[in-house]
Amino acid sequence: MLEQQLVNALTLGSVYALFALGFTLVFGVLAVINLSHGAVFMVGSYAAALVVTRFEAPLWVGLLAAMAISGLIGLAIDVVILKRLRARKAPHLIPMIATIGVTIVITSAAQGLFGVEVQRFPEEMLPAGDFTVGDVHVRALELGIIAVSFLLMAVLFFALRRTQLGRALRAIAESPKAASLLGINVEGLFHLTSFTAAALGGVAGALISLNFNAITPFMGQPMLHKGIAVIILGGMGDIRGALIGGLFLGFAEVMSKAYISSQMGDAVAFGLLFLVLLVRPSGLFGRVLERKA
Amino acid sequence: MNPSRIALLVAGLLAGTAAAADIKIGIAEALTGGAAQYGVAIRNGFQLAADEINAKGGVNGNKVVLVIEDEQGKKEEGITVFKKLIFQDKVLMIFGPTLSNSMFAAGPVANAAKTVAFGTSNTANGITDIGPYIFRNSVMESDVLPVTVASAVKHYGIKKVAVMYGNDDAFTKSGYDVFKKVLEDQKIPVTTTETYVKGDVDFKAQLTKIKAGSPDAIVCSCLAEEAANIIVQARGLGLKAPFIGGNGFNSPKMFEVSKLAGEGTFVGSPWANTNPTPVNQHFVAAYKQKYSSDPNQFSAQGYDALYIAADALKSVKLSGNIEADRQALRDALPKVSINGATGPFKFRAAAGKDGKPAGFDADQKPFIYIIQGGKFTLFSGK
Amino acid sequence: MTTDMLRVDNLHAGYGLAEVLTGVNLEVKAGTVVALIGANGAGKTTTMRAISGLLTPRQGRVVVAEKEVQGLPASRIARLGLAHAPEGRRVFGPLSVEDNLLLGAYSALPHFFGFHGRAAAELERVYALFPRLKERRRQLAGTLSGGEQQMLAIGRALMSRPKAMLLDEPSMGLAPVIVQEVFAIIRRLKAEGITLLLVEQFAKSALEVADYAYVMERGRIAVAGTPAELRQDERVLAAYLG
Repeated sequence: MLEQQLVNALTLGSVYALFALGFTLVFGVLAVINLSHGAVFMVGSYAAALVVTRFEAPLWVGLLAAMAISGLIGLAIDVVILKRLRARKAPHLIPMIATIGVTIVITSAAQGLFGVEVQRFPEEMLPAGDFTVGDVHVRALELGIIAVSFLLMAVLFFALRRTQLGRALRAIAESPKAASLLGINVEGLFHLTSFTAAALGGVAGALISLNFNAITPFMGQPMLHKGIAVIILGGMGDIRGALIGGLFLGFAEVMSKAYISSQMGDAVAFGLLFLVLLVRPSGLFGRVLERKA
Repeated sequence: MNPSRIALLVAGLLAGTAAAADIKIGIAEALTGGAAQYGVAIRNGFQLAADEINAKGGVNGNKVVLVIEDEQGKKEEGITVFKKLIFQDKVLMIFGPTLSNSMFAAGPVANAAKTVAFGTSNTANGITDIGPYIFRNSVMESDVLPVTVASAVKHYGIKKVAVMYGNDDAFTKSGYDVFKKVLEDQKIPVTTTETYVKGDVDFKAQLTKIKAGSPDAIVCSCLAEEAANIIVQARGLGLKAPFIGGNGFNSPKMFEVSKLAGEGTFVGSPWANTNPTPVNQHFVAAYKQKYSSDPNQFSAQGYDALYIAADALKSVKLSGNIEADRQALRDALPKVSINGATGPFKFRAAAGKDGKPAGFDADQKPFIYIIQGGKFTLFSGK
Repeated sequence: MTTDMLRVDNLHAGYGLAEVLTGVNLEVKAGTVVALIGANGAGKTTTMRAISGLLTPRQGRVVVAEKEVQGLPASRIARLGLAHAPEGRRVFGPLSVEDNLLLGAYSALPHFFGFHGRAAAELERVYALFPRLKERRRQLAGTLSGGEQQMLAIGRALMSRPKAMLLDEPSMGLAPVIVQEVFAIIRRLKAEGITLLLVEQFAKSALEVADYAYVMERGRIAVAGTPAELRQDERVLAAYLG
């Protein structure tokens, strides 16, 4: 049973990590807690499902569509709302509140367009086949989800560590002004970051809805709460933290359901989170936040 | 204003019933939100019945006018909508709300205002204990589940079961309580009891645990949305035991995720699509024509409920004094006995808690289904 | 060559209601080091910020390599060839020394996915100037000493091979022996023919390296001249060189 639970946890944790990655990226670069990330995640699910069912496109096209459409929405949120707030030097809470508004708008729009009933991928569109090793069942789909999640995360890690673009983003995270003095188009990279983060959120949505096959306009909210927990756990704005934090939450949730009680799944997961924060108040990888007097 | 409401009002005007008064009936159902899949089906049932009744000249010459409100499946909205219908729209009675949770919140409002609140989909225990103005035609889980479990046990030779339920919803929780009692009564050991909460989509951890106990069947008090995913994920983990479900399983949604994963599932229901009685066959055909989709149990119960009210209203002389008319309707309802889409129906006075006056439950026999070849098939008992 | 690499005409700038610069005029010829000195609050740093675009001028012209740049965003001005090593150094603490330097080449390497191979020549040149930075190239910039951070800030500005460079208060907060080192470096850069506008508190040292100097008072240029001329000026002598 343990081996099976480990597979369950890895699937869940890798999608949590992928979701949290975009969330933390926006926080790191734009210094905005973008609460519309859950709604964008939901849009990704619908985009993939729609493309796959309506146009009978293969799944990988669905995933690309999820990234593109969610990404464009993320970009639109940045250009239409966040950019204006930046120009007015709005205090930190304002963009966060604005993204709550965006969430409500997107959720209501999805409700109007698609209805509240659960939408699903047709069974025959999902990759068939599973593997049985001893007592462990793994569906091809789950392997695919883990592979896609880790692949995307690896690409992002590499880009951030080894390319000028990645260095520029890390520089902006430290000081947008100093970055602009080096010729870095800070606004442009804010847009790019918003696009990328939303695209990652959207593909996470598509992957999770492939795995559990249930898409509703409301699926973003619980995910958002988990995402907040993950990035706090990992250290706000830290990419490694989002990966480790996502996997941690996936494992904590599954293992506490498996070995403690299914009633306590979230309680145990969040309890552990609390314990970690008692020991490391700025998260696993977070730098100590200094409060300037 | 709700477009369907406008349509009904316009239809009423065009029909041009000169002197006769309108009979205003409140419909409070979840038309948006997570419970909308039930609420919309119920509303459709009511509209179909109202159209039929009005087409035949109404009740004693009076048109039935439905005042439809969306209670969103939320307790707070349920209370708000009930207050609006009772005090502002001055309806004669209210049907709804959709979820048992909401009835526990809004029912007392109607009861205190001496106005009938008639649930068509509230199956939780204790609903009619709210007071003497609370009625329901929804058969309770405690009537259905013993029959369902006994049929499945006999069919499969079940020795032990695992249990799974949603623990944050009045309907699934109350279904679980009934299952638990039924399993104790029928002396069937439970290998493990697992829970989830509304909105969960990942059930693998629980199912892996269930699989470890190798049960002969899985008893599931779940809504169709979750049930469908639970079954598919169970099969994905190589868990092959059949499922036994409550009322929540009773939906075509069971086949949306996977046509065949649910094979062999036992479900108890107050209504059978295939029930060959003329009333039911007429209902199924008319519904399909009006809405271009298949009805479900919830639409059938809504449809029947309006006919129950219409039957009671036949014996009521409307005075125009709203308080008196509400009371007269309340007094006439318990005597109704009709043959509806859900079969022969009559009320049974609820026992009530601690001797307090209580309302009326349905007195009806359930149908037992087994899922075969991707559809619900009436279980013959063999 | 006697063309102006950087010229400022009648520059006005400020913050909110406060007007800090009230008509600044200055020019830096190609291959020369020009010092901008003056008391605290005279507007030296504000002048630098208005030139590099961190602050949008309200009036006047800024010409970099014969292109008018006033009103452009700082990143565009940087890409036109102006490097600004700001006051307080502003190195990126969580990035390695080498990553900081490579970012310095950003405006010269517009390709996002360019790897550091492309900036290898520049990197070697800066490492030759600052062997200490090469030793510490894997270290996080935030862990360097103040003097090393200043070298990193200068090195980073050099990475883009700028047409003109602004260097704001390089000696600020450094121990005297380190300040000497910083001025030694400025002399080496001068020998290599860099075009530099230098803001400095240590007026004496600044005048030693400069070809020409401006003295700012209350938002405008009060006195201008060669270091030799300024050393003769009674007022400058009393106020800044005493």
